[in-house]
Amino acid sequence: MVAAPRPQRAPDVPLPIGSAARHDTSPVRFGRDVRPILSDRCFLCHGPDREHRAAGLRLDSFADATAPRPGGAAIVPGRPDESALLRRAADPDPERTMPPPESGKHALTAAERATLARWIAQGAEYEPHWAFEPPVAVEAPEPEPTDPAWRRSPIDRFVHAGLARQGVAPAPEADRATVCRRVYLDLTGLPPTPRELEAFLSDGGDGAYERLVDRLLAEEPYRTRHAERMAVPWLDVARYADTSGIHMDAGRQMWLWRDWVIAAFRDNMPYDRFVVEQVAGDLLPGATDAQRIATGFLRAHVTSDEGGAIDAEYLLEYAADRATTVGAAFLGLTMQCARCHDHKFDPVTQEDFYGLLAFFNSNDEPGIYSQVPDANRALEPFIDVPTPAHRERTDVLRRAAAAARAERDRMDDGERAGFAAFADALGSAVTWVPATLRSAEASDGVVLESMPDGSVRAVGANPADVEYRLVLDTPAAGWRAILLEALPDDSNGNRPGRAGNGNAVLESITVEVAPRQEPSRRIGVPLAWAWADTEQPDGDHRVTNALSADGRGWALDGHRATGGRSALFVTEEPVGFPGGTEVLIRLASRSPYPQHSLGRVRVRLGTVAPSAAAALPPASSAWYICGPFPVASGPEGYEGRFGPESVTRIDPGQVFGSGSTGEFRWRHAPGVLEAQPVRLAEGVDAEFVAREVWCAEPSEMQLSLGSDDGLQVFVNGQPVHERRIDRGVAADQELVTVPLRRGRNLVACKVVNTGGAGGFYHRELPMAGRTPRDAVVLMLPEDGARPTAVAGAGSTAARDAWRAANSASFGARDRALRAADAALAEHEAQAPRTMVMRERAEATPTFVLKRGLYDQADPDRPVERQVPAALGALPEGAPRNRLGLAQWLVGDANPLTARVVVNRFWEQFFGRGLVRSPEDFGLQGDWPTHPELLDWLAVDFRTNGWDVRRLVRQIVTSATYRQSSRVRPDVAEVDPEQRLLGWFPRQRLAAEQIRDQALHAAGLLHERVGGPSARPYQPAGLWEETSMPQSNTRTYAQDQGEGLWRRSLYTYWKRASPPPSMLALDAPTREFCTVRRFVTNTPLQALVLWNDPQFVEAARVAAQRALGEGGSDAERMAGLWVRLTAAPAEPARVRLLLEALGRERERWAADRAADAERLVSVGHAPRAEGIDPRELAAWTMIANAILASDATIVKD
Amino acid sequence: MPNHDPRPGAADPMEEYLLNLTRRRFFGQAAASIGAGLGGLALGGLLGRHAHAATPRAADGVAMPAPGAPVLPPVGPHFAPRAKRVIYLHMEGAPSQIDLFDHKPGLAARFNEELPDSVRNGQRITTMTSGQDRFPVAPSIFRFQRHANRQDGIMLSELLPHTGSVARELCVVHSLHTQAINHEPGITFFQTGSEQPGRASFGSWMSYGLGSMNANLPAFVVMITQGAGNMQALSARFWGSGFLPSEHQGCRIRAGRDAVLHLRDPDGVTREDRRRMLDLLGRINEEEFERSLDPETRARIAQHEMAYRMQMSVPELTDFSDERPETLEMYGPDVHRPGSFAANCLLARRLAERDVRFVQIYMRGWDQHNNLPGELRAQCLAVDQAQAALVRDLRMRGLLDDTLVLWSGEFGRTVYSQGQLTAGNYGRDHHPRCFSAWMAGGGCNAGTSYGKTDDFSYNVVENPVEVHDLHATLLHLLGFDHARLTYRFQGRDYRLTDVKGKVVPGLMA
Repeated sequence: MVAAPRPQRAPDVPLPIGSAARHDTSPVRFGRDVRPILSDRCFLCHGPDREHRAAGLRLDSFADATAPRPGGAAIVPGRPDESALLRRAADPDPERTMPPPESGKHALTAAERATLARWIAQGAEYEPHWAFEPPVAVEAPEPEPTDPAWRRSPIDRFVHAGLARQGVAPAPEADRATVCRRVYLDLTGLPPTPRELEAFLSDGGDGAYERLVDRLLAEEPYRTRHAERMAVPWLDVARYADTSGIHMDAGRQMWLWRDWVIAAFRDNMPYDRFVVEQVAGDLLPGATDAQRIATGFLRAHVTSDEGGAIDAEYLLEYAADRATTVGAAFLGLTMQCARCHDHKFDPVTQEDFYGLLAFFNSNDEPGIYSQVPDANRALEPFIDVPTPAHRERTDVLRRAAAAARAERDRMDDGERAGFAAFADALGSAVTWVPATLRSAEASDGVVLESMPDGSVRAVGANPADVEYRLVLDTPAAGWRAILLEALPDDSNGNRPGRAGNGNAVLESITVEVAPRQEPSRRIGVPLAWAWADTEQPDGDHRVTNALSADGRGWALDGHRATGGRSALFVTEEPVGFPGGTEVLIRLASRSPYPQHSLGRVRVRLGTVAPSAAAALPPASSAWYICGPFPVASGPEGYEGRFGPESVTRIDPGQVFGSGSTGEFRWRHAPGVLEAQPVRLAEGVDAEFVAREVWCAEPSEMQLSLGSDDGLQVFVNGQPVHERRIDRGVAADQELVTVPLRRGRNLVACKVVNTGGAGGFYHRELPMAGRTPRDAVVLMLPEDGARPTAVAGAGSTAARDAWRAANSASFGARDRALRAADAALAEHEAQAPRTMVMRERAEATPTFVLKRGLYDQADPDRPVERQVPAALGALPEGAPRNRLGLAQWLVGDANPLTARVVVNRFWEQFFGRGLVRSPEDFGLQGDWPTHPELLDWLAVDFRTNGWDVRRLVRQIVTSATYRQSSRVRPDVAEVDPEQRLLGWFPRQRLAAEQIRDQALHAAGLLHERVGGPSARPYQPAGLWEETSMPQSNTRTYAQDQGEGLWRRSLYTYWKRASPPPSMLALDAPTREFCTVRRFVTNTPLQALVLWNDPQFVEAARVAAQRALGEGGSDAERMAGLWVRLTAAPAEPARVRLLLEALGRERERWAADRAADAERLVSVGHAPRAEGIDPRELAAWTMIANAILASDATIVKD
Repeated sequence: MPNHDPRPGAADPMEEYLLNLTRRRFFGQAAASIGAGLGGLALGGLLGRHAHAATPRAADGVAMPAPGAPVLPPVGPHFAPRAKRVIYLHMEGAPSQIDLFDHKPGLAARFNEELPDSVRNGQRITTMTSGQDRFPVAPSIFRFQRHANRQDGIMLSELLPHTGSVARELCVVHSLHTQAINHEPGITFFQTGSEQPGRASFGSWMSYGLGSMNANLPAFVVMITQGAGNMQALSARFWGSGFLPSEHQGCRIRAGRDAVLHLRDPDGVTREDRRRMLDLLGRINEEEFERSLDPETRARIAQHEMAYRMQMSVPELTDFSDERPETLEMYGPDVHRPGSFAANCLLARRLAERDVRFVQIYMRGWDQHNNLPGELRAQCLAVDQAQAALVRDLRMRGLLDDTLVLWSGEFGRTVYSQGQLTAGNYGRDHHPRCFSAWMAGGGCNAGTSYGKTDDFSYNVVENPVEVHDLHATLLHLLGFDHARLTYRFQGRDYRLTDVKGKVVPGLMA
């Protein structure tokens, strides 16, 4: 594209409102003076949006605005008085005035009308929007400023000229110490140490400052610090965080991308590559891991895992987020406005938006992600990027695990023979008796077909709930065992259940018998015990649930594994009438899971040898919790009776308590796990943890328990154990022998908490002579339906269970294997992996969506991948994918990318950009303060290889940057918004810099680069209070050691609950692309600086350092001041601080040793030996004040 | 007391210059968005905003410095407000309107019948029940009782007897509807006017629009009560400031010692110690100011002083020992348990007394997909007495007239059972097409009910109220034209009601 010569530009300070009338002849610039008015008041109805255009009039084009109309042309060039636009704007009649009052737009002021009038009088010349025209470098203005310091850099010549036009001279250069601190903070994010400051101040030679800048940019450790500092704003833009943001707000790994950004800045990656790799690294020929990692930029958006949410809706949101982020980050455009309608102000149509979105909606990803417990997962698509060290360690651990497995599985002959005998004995303990299926019926229209193998298969309707009724006839008596086989069938995809996913839930099994001769004399047969080869591990789905008809059931896990399942039930008493018995078995599938019925079932009956029945292991239900019942005191907890003490079963519907204590019911407690301490409610209360235990014969069980604080144990309503004590929970604090009767038992532990957190622990101890649960499988008939999924594992488990009880060395070998497996699993879970873009083979067809809704595709408006038409087109020959888009972004014809980035870097140093709306270069954006400078920088940046470090150096070595920051009231009179940079703008530091500076100054900062995020100090309970109970980021595990003191860009970022101190200091939540941060003043910030342990600790450690140095109080105090503020310690300042120290010493000396000890104990950093806590407290308070002051938190 | 006369031309020249400088800097940022609506008055109020508000309380006799400048001045109402503050009780998880407010006696005869297709009409439902082959009608098992109001009475569930006792104060809306069918987008929509993250929350808009009336407490306070039932996540975005400056984000008040994060001085540090530290800090900052002439430094001095006052005013706020026994009794025994809904309701009243603009309580645990009867009972038990007490208490203290209380979930629940329907048990899925909410005080149409649903509590058949309409109406009661309370971000004027919303006159007295 060839740029037209530019018209002579008017001065770039916009005409102050109200001054228009006084300067009637000064030229009006359309873009600067007129368009903001039209855009703000008129374009909503008379702009580019064709759907909401009123009266067919558009005022954003000369041809339309000047076209003849019935009431006269809106604009008649040269004739303000004849222009309808001005007439309507001034019309007092609310029916006719423009903009109409109901639009919510404010009426034009007299000054605005005057500006429009002058523009029309001067010819009503339109000009294209500056930002959509390619930047053209113009020569820096002449004559050059007389001050030689202001002649060096073109930057300064532009700025100087701007000031000169207003008759203002630049500010004097800031003193050297100030500039030194400023440039350290700006380039590295950390202040200079006293030694570094001193080194600079003593280097009075020519070019000392330039040498410092070069060192900070190029030499370690500064170079890496610089990269870390530059990365932070980009993390905001990329909405980088460690969690998914929605619903579970689950943890996910993305830090490799964050480290890629740091590396890019450290290696001074040219900005065009920086753009291309993040937008399309995966599509580059022979893409490297690093280039794939870079595309995490497009994956860092929030994602959902909310059950019930709709896939397509979120797939759209993800693509829209990418389009919006790319628009804001690289183009400085607000693309999202065009999602629902054509942009009201900018020439961006809906087609443009969806054309851009179409580059991003073919990623190989789900809309709704699954929920997993692993907080270190990466959401698909992702790549594993193990470091060499990680890989090496994986190999070592794998070999160790394999060796441990071989060692454990090694059986000697004796063991082999012993196990074979054991298996034989169990196999013969049950004798399967003959039984004939007489009939099989089902409710709700289901038909049960008889199969040749004695099973029945359900066909026909599949209602939500169903009951099967099987009638068997057996001549045998004295049987107790009922084997239920859920067989796989082709019609169910070789799975046991009829639900769409192949799963089934058996709510209950009930048995009735009658003498063969008198079928009407039917009686119920109570069941005493149950076992299953498979129980679904999540939720409350144990087979014991099938022993009661209460809505809870046995789930077969059929959706995860094919094959059959077996369950074994034992009756309370031997069954069978002398003349033969008719047996009715009801299998009910009534649960919260509709259609989860059994597909094909077979029932067998058997006798059980009495000794084998007595050896069956007790069968336990899941754990339940009831409470906490609030109590006034511990004794009330022990002595009070709340209800659950006396019950003999878990009834989920039963309500305990009253209005005064709150009402409670049993609730399933998936968190109560064997041999793991679990947290209970905080406070003074009594809470019940209970489970049902089923026994084939009267028996007992040994429990090893723990509790916080004391506990009582009730079995079937009778107290069996009590311990009154105040303690924290730990393993194996109580050993309790629990008597169990045949059939159902209830074991209820009442945990009495006398304050603070509550807790519970349990472990069932093995008992001699008992058949291990895993060995029960050996009692099943060998021709039975062993589930394919567990067939192999089942026998291994049985063998291992036997060996555990009978082989002396097995326990140790088994533990060794478990440890080895666990170490490997833990290591592999920590494998560095990160989320990337990966294109589907086929591009997703894309349409304009009506009102932007995912299910409102407009079939008449298909769109192709394309860039916004007003900004050009994909380069000739560029692929029509993200790579082509990226090439266009950094191509010579793109008017925005270079301007947008130089503006953002400018803003990093001056606090405000040359365009003060860095996220909006569109028509509603701000007019640049220095348009020529912006274009000069953009062209210079691009023609010099997009060299970021060169640009940064240009900026910070300019005289403009080195000005004093003292506010100049006289200049402010003519430039109230400080657009001309008549002094260096003071800026409060960003959240990260404030914390990093405190850590660095105290000597606490732990400078490790990259890696998984760190978890520094955070108030307890914050995550728990707002998270889903099942979320894997529900509990904040604060780091010990170095993780407390790493740079803030490494702090773990949970989007639903971001680090509170960062948030208080104006960090964004990282839920969406944020191009600039606000700086606010709130009392909450003061509280952070005073009381956050991080800052208290930093103050204490800084005080320790001061006290550890030699010299007088004055010398130490001066040292402390310089260390914390990087500013010279003027004598008056030191005097002030010493006076304050005197008062502190006085206050802390008088019998406040205990207070002082508590204050200086804050934080995990070690205490220095031999310092009186009172003296340390006094100095800590001084440091605390300095750290919170503007001398520290402001860059001047 | 404010030291500044907010009008230019009054103070000494340097002060006036600083005032101007700050004002213009902010004006430069905000001019386009606030525009003429801000006008001279609000501009003048920039630094002296407290001059327009009720007298701020100085907590402990410390002289108040110049109040700190917000990044943006409060916009100020467009017309005379009916309400000065809001207490918003958000029932997270979505309570069942059918079992609480929307009485459908005709459903009893339709137990377990299939929901007619003509009612459902192909509506999109969540993937949690979209696989269900039946949609059996589950009538509420709860009895309803008539309570006198200012019309011919209102039927409320037996689970809400206390709430019924203040029916004369309530404006119950039966015809709310929303777009969202899941919690995260649903709550985000109710709080910010958009389902996607990024917008400012209602409370933030209030803080931005009205500013603070209390120099010692934040303008927007959030409290959370853990529920008895199925709990969904709460995201900080629900009370976040979105694109508004972060000073407008909600400040959480938590149960326990650390009511406000980092409020408590480190162990061992006394109030006198903090005062001395603050005096030193003030001296350092004052010198910084003399060196730099930067008005921001002055603003920060003021914020430090306000923090110091907050350290007093918050513990005093959360200490109920000055409450009369009858009051505590009225809220119920839970009031003694910090963090409970009752305790948070009483705190809300105390915050209203202290003129905090926007108090929000989240009650978690209303997401009753299964076992609704039992869980709902427990949830209602936790809220009923306390919320009625809050309304009554505000009335008795004369605060109800200008305090608007809002009670709502993010959507409703289905008339058909999710999962197993038995005579005594059922569950309900999410339902966006209609749900109920109530308001009290603040100029709402007390003692009335508004809007009607069909016989299945499925569709609105009379006077639909969209969430944006509710927002528009609430803003109206607070003195704002919802279409004019805007903020420019990324080139667009955003508002709480997005591009929609109409004021509903029937909800206002």
